[in-house]
Amino acid sequence: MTEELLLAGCLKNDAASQEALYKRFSPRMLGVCYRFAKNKEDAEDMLQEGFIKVFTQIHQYRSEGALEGWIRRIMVHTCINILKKNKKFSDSVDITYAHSVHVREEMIPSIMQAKQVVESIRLLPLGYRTVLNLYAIEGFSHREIGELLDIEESTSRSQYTRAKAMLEDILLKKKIIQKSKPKIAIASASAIL
Amino acid sequence: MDKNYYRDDFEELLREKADEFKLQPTRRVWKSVYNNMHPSRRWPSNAISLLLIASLLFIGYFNSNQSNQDQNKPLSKLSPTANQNAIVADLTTTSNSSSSVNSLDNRSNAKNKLVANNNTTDLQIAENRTPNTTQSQKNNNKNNIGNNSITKFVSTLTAKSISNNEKADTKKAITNASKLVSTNKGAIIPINSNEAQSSTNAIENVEISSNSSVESTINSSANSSTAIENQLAATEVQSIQSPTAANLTTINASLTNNEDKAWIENFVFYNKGKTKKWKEKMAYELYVTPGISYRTLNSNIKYNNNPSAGFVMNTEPTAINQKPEFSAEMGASMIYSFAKKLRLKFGGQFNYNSYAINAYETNHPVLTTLTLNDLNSGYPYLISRNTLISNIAGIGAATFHNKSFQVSLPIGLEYKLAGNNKLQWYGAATIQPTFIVAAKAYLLSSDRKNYVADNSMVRNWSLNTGFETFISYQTKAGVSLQVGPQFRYQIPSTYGKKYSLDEKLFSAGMKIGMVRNF
Repeated sequence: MTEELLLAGCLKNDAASQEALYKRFSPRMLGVCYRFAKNKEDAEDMLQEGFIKVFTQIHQYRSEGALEGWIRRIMVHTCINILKKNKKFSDSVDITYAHSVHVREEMIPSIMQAKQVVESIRLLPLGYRTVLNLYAIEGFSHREIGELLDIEESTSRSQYTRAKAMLEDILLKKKIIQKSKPKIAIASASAIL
Repeated sequence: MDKNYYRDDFEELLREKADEFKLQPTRRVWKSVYNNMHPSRRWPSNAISLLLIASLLFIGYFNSNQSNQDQNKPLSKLSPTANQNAIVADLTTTSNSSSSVNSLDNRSNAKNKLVANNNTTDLQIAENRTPNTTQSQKNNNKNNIGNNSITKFVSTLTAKSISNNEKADTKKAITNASKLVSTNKGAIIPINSNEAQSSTNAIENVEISSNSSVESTINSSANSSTAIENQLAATEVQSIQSPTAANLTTINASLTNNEDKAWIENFVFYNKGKTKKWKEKMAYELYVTPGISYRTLNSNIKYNNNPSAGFVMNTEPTAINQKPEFSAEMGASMIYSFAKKLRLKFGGQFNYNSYAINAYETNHPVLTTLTLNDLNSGYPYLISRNTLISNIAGIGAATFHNKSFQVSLPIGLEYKLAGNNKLQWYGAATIQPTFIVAAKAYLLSSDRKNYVADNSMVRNWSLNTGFETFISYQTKAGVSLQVGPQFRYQIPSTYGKKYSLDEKLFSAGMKIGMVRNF
């Protein structure tokens, strides 16, 4: 089924079209939510709420960009709203002091490439992780992040710098990346094993 | 630390790897989305869940007897796929509905079957993807069948119960198990679904292990493989077919395929250890309810006022001076959320009831009578007692306390009337079988002029009902504080049927409680 047909069906609240749209995009969107959530169950809750918003607001989609991008933005906003509503964001390690968190190498699970990177991101404190997800992966600007998380733009910048340094440290310790001039490269699988 | 690399490269790497990353959601998510979008076709509402409580309790009791008989029954002659579909439907029905009450036994049985049958289904997928194993790998393949879930699947088959069709299925399952491990040799080790681990830990268990760790797994599974081989011999399973060498190349090449990666991830997630979801629905509560207690006092209607007996009973207790006194409840209970707005509550509680009797002390014992019922004839009779307590006059006023110390087991329901995640309003009702541990009773005499201290008339067992409403406030620490009024009423009389007066205690107080999830 093409995206146009899916959209037309979803606008009519057709269950089959909704299910097809869900099956097409849910694996990737769950990956997005998983980077923000504490565990897979929380990520599924975010995914559920996100898709409900997608289906109820599908009439607002203007075909100006890719449908996946539109769904992804809704998903990201849903994740942030849930974190803020459950106060997990503010109850997390204070991002001012999070730089004192030390990551031991044995904390990092040994998994395949994309999972390794994602799981390394999830090792970061919640505040660092959120800012890094929004800036480096989702493409938000620091100003937008400040508005979304109710923090200063300068705070977003400084926290992103610290988050990135911590993540680099994790990836280097686990040999997921290796330092080389002028590019970063993924270490080969044999080196990891 | 040398940071001489391009910043954009790092962010590009993160973006690229994050985009590659996918996870397969559970079926529960789509069902919840569907129910939200199509509420008219929603599963049974909370109103029907009330009816389900009683029927499910009955079914749970019934099934606990049936389950012992079912273990020796032969497998269904349905195909594994049909079996799995039936079991998935069963598991889905019992686990996904927010309004259903689950029998833990049924869920664990269904889950074990699902694990076994998921292995079968996924193994069938493996068969479709890969050719048969080589003859030279036959022994290794059998040794690799150390997976607990596969062992469980095989161990449910008995020699008596396997028909020819099931033997073929058994052979197919064992063959596929061999293929799974052989094609993934040195790669993924499936997780035992009975292990209670968080999702993060489960991912840690999905190791790209070295050959030495696989070999240690092979060695450690020798005992279980021997048991399986014996069972296979008993069922006369034919030998495993041999793949060709050329197919092995295809097998290994297919592992790098993204589709296979996704399949492997699915397999791992369906078989990974799950957190115990019952913990999310269970909580415990500690509470106290200070208040006041009093009583209602009426004639015991079972007795007949018989003028020919030589006296006329004063059936109305008159001119007595009694007042309410302090009461308290203290208890702990377990709370189980089985529906969106309904919670089951059961626990233990200690009660203290008391009311004051304002009377007079006499300077010498007074002979008085108590009116009792003859339970055989239904007519009253009198017994004599000496007492130093007068209801009319005496040497000095005195206060006596009718007390009752009780232990009860409240069981009931809490219903959420309104509220959000933080602040909620509940109404609740309980029924409380009660044991009277100790009591101090002062009984009115037949002519109402005296009190007689006599605990022998007090029942040992009683039944209370409780009604309450409270506000629950969720704190940041994850603890809910509850406060609200509570009323408790005793259903049968404090005294046995013999005594000619019915006394029913009641208390009203303010409950203060704390609830915390496990």
